[in-house]
Amino acid sequence: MNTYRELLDAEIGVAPPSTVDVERTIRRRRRIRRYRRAGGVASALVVVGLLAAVALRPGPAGPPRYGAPLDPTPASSPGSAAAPSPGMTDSEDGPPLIDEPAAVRLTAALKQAMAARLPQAEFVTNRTRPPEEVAALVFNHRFRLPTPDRSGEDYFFATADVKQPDGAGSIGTGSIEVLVGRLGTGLFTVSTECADEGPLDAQGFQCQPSTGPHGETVVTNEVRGNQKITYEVFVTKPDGVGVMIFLRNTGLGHAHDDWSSSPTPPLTKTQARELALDPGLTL
Amino acid sequence: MTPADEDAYREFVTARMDRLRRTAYLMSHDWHTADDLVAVAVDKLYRHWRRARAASNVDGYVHRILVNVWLDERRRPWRREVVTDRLPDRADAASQPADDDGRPLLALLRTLTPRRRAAIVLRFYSELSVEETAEVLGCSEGTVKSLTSRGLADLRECIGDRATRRNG
Repeated sequence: MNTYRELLDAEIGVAPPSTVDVERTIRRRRRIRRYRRAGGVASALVVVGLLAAVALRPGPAGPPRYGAPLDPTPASSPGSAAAPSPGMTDSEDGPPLIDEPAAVRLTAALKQAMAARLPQAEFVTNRTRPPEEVAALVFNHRFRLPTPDRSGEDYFFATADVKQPDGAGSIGTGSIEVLVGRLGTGLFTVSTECADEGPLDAQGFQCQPSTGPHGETVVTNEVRGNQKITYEVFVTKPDGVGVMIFLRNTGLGHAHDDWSSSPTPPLTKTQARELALDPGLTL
Repeated sequence: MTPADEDAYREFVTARMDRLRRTAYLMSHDWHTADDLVAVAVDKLYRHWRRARAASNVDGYVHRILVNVWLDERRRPWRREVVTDRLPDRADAASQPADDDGRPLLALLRTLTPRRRAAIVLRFYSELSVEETAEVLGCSEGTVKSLTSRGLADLRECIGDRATRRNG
């Protein structure tokens, strides 16, 4: 007589050699810690320098920049066989590339659409990727070719925490994530039909398929945890562009379903669907 | 993290690496994905090591991280699994056996919904209690019992009398 664990272990058999490198994890975390400390000191020096410059030579400030690629070399086209340039990637080793024309255009469309729907809201960054933050609702290009060990990805991504009055006299925080990409490369796919069941931690799950005004395939999900509510919208456009939107009644930092800071996500399901079908969110 | 903390972390993770990889494999059915999940989980554990050590059940804490990493991974829609009662015709030879012939439990696990599969793995492979499993999954103990009772019936039918019922 065996335990279930023994039976399962027997069926699993001998595991292949591990690719998990604990020492590398430790080294990487030490490096990040040092980097952050150095970054903090450098930031303080920069602030002091800027204050001094402003005090000594007052004048109009230049246009703000959200950031710049590490590598000014033009990047290869997404999905091509060539390896991505460092500047194209949104890896943990460098800041994301957010000055691409498509990213700038998508950012303008998203900010306009959100401001129109939520004029009272404040949009706050929820992504900190040293050495700089990714600003709220600003698209960046996430691109990675697949390797034997990791899947690839290719899409534009924007997110923000959304702070607005919750109707009870306080400020509630929700969040939004928007992904826009070209389908058919294998690096970005969008749900086109309803799943039988929601995510593992879902306490409730509803899915509504529909068709958009221009023939788009639309799948709208509502996923409920103990307190957490998520609206998901997946749009497949006839021209091969896909859009995904996730709206939650929590800031993005709260992954569990037993906590929320707002009774509902920042947009209704109908608004979320409208946003996903916004003509500006395309490539 | 002090050098002593790092030593404790290294010792803890190394001792549990095989178990964590196997747990991740049972949930994902793919060794590449399993190693990805464990790599992210141990990275998160490093960042929260002091809090983890203060937890009453560090193993439960690690499993919670691992399950949440898997959840986050599945939330990426291109990773979202489609549950089916049919096994795939082809398998990635580099990452998994060609089929589950002779591995009825693994074949059965693949047919379970992710929620039920995770409950079964945590309860009967990781051998967490109902209470601990509920904590990891973020649901009630009643939900865990409900999830595992049907899965357990399937397991028993699948393996006949090969398994003891002491952990059921």
